[in-house]
Amino acid sequence: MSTKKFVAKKPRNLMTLEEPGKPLLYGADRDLAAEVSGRWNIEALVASLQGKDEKAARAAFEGLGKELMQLTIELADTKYLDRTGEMIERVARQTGISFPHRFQRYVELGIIASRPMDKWNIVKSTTKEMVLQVYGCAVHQAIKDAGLACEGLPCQALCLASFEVARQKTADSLEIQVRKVLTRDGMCEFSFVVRP
Amino acid sequence: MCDMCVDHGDGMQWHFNAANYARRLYKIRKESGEATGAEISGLAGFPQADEILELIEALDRGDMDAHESLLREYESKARREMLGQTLTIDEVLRAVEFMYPIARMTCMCRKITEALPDEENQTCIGFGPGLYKWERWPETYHGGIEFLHPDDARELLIELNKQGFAQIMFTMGTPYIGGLCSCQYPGCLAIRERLDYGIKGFWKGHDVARIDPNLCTGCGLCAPRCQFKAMSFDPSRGVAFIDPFRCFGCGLCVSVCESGAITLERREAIPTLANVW
Repeated sequence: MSTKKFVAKKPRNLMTLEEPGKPLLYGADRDLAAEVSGRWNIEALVASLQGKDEKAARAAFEGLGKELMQLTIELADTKYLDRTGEMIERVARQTGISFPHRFQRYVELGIIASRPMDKWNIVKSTTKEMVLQVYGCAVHQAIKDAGLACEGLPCQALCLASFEVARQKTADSLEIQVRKVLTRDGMCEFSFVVRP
Repeated sequence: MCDMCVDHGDGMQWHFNAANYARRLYKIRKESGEATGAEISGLAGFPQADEILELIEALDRGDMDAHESLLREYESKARREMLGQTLTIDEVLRAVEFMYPIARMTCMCRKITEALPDEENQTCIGFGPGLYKWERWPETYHGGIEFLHPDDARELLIELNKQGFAQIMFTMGTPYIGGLCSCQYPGCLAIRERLDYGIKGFWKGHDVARIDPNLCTGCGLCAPRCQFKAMSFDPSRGVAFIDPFRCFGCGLCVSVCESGAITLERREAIPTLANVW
């Protein structure tokens, strides 16, 4: 007894193994994290913000967020390009769908590269919406430890500016929102919704 | 609601909870290198041949305690690693909106049980970030992989359903959902293990098929489509019969019933079946 044969259209875009057995690198490169996180010092940044108002703090974080994401993207797509990234681009070209994973890749690598000890997770990732939760943030902790006013979370400017750089890179049309904040909810939750 | 919905549904059926489809793309690369091939095989969640042999041997020597204990152990492993549930085609099509990327691939069950060539066997759908790493499983993807636009995936799933494949959604490390199999008995290992050995590697769906014998014309189209041994044909009355305790609620019988004699009812609305998964 056997099951029926499946009668189907032939695959149009079949990908086959290029070099079976060849070890490929899928995870984020440790050296990417070392190189990006080595370019900034969180304690020094926080110390430089002592005595400044929230607006100035936000501006400093925003500039840093842009800089770190630009560097991450540059390195992640050249020196530290991994197989996951290559496949994300190939699949996006094949399906015609960019979001969420081209954008998600840069967001994830941005956090891993600049704050490798952070605790975070992706809790939604569809072609319409992505949600990121950060619940253990080195920047927030440093601000708190330094006794800076963090109720308004000026450090969110760092995350938001970095996301905007990633969004510009992928050219996805997204509405970026902060849905929860660490000081109130115990986590920062960012949502990225595709604009209709 | 089944236990999976209670634990992982966030108020919905667990396969409609977008959180169960989401996963990080990246971790920092291990210095020891990344595991590949059989050591991370998707089928590792299924009881293997030696485990099934152990089950049969316990039954053979009449050791029912050992038999029950093994069944519990295998079910517990499935719940942790790779648990499935039968879905109707409507549920499947709705769930597609949470999946990306989506790819069509060889069914490993039929490759194992029937040695079907890849070109006749590309009936399984995988999805989610893990698929970007498909080359880590050269045995599974020997026949290649085809990434699909969600609309093309829906079209393929409808076609498979028409051809008589029952659809079972699987977790890949519960509650993360990563696979949608289109299955037929006896080629499907999961159905075979459930029906032949009582191993609950996948659960019944949220619906149950019921038949109104007064509307049944006796055309006989439905019975051969059942993959779960729940349907039979009563030759004396000339009507089909559905055993509700065996029905997995896939809806394959409903979709060919032109007289409207077969319908799906919610399992939880039927007291005797509400906890029969």
